[in-house]
Amino acid sequence: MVSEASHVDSEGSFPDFNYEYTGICDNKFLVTFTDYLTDNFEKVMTPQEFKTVLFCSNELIQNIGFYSDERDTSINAADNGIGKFFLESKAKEITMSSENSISSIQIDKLSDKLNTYNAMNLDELKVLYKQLLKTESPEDSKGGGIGFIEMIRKTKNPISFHTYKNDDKTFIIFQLTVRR
Amino acid sequence: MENLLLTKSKNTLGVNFDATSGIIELSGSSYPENTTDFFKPLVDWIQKYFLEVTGKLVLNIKLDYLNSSSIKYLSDMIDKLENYHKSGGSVEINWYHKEDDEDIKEMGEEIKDDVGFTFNIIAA
Repeated sequence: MVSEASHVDSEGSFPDFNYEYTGICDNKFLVTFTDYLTDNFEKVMTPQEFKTVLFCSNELIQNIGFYSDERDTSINAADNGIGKFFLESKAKEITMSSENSISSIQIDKLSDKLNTYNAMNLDELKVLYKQLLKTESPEDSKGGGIGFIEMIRKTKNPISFHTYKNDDKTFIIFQLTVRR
Repeated sequence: MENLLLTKSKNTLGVNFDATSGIIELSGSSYPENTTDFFKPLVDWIQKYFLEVTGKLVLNIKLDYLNSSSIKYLSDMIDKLENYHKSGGSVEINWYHKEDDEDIKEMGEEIKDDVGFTFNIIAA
């Protein structure tokens, strides 16, 4: 399910924009979303902003596809995770967020990893990024473990994340901000 | 040795590996459904070229966007080139970027720092 809204913001003529998607985050959706992003955002963002939003949005969507605990069992694909993705563009900042259910095993691993990355400066992250490129990808990783590091490096902001419980499931929300 | 040609799609790179000239090219965006399935034949082709042809290899790279798993595979591919260079082979990379594409330019600069062969960064 996709919804979107656009209006002129109170400070001037820059259009605010919201995009929200709930559903299967497979490669088919990723292609559709990338087309959508290119058609609607490439001209209203700087080239640098656009590349950062493209990279981070796609990483968040792919993470849902690969790691969400809620999966579409009707299709036989590795990236059939279900979740929510949200993109908001305002005059001062662009925000991207994702939400999906997650196993308790993954939560601890992710929290440790993200707290470590968020505490590092950009030079330290660059060193780690290069180290990880030279090492074998972890078995449970789809991207060589560099996705989160690259998101922090490109946005130049930490990744905000928190979890909540609903019934017997645990959900994780990631949020990334690009300051304009 | 056969050439390797793959047509560019929305989410996969265009590939033009020419064994006769030793000039190979990657172009476009990469966020394939299965990154391993896409990149493994490319890495295998390069390894075979180094074993069977043993000539100079020029890699022209013209990227728009890579997801993180594609970056990892590209890095693996460039490691193969670096190993070939260290063993006495001749390698060159021409890394093209659009004038206003700082992302791709910086990615090239970071890779250039870590290789010992000729690595040209070209605004096009």
